Amino acid sequence: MRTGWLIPWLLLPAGCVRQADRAVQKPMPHIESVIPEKVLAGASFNRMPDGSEAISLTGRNLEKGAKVRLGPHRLDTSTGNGTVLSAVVPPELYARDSIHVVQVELPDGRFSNVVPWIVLKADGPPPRIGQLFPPETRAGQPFNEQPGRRAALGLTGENFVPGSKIIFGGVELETNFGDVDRLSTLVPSELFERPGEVRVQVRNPGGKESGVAVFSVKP
Amino acid sequence: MTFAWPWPFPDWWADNLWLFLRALRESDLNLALLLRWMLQNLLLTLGVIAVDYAMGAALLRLICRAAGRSLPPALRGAAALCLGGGFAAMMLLGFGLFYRIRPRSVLGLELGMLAAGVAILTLTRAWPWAASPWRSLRVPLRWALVLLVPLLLFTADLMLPVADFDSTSYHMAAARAYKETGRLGFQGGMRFNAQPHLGVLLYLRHWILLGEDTLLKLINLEFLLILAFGLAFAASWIRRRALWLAGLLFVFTSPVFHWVARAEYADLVLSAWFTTGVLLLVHESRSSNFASLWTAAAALALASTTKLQGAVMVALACLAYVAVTRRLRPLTAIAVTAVLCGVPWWQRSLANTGSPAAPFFLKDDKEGRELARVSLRYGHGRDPVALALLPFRMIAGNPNLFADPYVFGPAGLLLLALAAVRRRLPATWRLPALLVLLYFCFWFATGQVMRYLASLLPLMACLAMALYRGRPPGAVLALLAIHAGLTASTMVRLMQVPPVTQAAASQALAESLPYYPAARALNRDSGGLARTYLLFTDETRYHVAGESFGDWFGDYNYDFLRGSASVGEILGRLRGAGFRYLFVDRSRAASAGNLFGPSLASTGLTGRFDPLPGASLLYADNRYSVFRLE
Repeated sequence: MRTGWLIPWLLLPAGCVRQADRAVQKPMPHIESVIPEKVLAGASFNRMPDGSEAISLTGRNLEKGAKVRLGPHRLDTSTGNGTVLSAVVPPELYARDSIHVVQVELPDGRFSNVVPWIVLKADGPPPRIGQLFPPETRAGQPFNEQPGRRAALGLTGENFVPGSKIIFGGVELETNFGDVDRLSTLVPSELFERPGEVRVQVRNPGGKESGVAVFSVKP
Repeated sequence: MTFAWPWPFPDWWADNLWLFLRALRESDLNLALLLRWMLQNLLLTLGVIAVDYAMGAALLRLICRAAGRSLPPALRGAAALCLGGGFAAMMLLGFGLFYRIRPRSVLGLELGMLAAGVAILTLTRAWPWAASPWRSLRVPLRWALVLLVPLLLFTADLMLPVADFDSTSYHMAAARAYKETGRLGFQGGMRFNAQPHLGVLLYLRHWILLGEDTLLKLINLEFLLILAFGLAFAASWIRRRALWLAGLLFVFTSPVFHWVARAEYADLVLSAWFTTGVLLLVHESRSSNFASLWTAAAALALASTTKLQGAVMVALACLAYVAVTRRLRPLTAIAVTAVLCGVPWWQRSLANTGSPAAPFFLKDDKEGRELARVSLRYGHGRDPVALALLPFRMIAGNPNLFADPYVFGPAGLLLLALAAVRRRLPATWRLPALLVLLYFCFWFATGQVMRYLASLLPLMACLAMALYRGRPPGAVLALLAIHAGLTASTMVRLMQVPPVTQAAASQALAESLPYYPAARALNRDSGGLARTYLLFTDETRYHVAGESFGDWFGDYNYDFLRGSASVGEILGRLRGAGFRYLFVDRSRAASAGNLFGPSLASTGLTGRFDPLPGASLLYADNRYSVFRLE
């Protein structure tokens, strides 16, 4: 048993700094999200001016001096402002498909909760479209209306990766990667202003394409 | 070439002051708690010093009664603190040989010393005699006010965690091992553990009494008090009592001395005990006082057991004494006490290494030769040009070439200037002057480590006072005070305020020591129960829990791995020797190609993402990796 700390109490009983005072700690950090949550092996995902790639963490109590840990690796971490931390990910850590454990380590040695960070295989199976949301619309009528009366198309399926593109009526659209089974995009109005059937496909960065799904534009 | 200290203004002043003020403004700093913590531990430290003083004054009273003579007041103060601290350290040495370094026994020792000291001083009616030395440290109120802030900041710096290289490599690593085991067991893998290190036991005592390793440096205040008494004696001997403060400020114009006074190394305690011993010898040489002689013998004997350098300095002091006084017989007293104090250490070294003064005089003298070779690398050479340029280099050059992080400062140059313009040195001071000269020659010819010379700075201050002899004008005192005060106020070594909470201590270390997070990850996994090999991370030893090996010297040194043909062979040797963890500084490992050969360049020993088959990675950052050996 460690009894050394008792001695100050014996020698100086009044006015001592108590053990309770000394045990005071900062609140625990908590990670809410990692951005991006999933990346493609070997591919750029958030390029910094110096050419490195970085992830960002949002959460609570991500204070100054906190470091992001990716498994056993301690990353170069920006100074926190309490809610956001950024950390440079060395290329070796996203060179192959893998699942990393992300944690924040406080300067006093305590750790936050754990969240996963996934590196997806660059050359996986071809994507497959399940459903479109919505599957149809009326000519010229915006669907899933977004600010500026813009139409948005969502689709579910399999084997989507960061960098997957939705091809709508032969036009490659800027695509948001939701997850391996979710994509979405904004659809320009000229692509659904006339009735007919529009061919929808997904193309992954390696060039592999899904089968064709049909989006109906009714009169 | 980098100029670390463009004289006369150190380049760290502005940066450090700014960083320190910023740390004070941190939102989570609880200033009230910090001040309570500082006050509490300062009071406890003063209590420990008071006990040492009481015991030392009692011993000195008995010596003086036996000799039938007394000592000048200020010299009594220095001698009393020296004897009291030395007595406590020797008792701890005894405890350590019998597995009794425990909080209870250390507290018992303090209470016993207090009771014995009070009893002897009361029975011999010596309280006024014991109290009078303190009057020699009186400081005019205006100077006390001026120096209060630097003193407060200096004290705050004494409450920072153990972080200096030699401390974490061996000084405090040894103290930690003794504290954990309760005995003074020989640590074969720890550098210089066979050498005497009596001062470490006083740091260990303070650690045990105050309960935290962040507080152990506070005992440096006792050593500084000894030096203050010594300088006060020198000033009174010169018949210029007011000069002692100028002497103290002169010492503190030296950045390297400031650093030594803030670290838990052996240099400050050596300086304090050795200066006292030499001043007592000076007194004896003029008065033939037996009390001075035997007290000098005790102080020098204690100094000789702080480190091997102490033994050399004591030998040179004896040589200077004989040369100046033409008397040999008094040296018997020094020899007898030095043997009495030194025997436990020599025997310990002999029993564990085969040499009484390891790493020298071993059958295989490899380590001794290696140490001498490394020492000769420090400095700028030993030729006349290097000698001529030395003052400039020690003031404005890169101090790292002298193996220290701070420069010597202008003290030596001021001394030379005084010697050039003032009258002859009084005969009284020939002994320390010759000693300084002899030691300087030894230092210049061997290891030019700056702090080894700084141990003599208090004696140099005495010589400066003796050369000056006049009443110090206010302007000179003010200049010295500004210089010493600014250095004291801004030499914030770790850029931290003293950590009060346990979390703050861990945080301060993580922000100050690049290896600390790695050591923490290792400790978390090992629980301190397994053997760790420190591959080029010997400076982490104090912060790595459990038993650790790996250094250029000692058991399982890097030669143990030399000639391994593959990484598998390295890991096999480590596993075979019972190691379960490997802590690597990859950048240093990469530059030690001659030790491992090119075939190992692409393994986890040198590359962060390269594999180390048969070992799982626990931690890696830009420089350090920690592996668990499967």
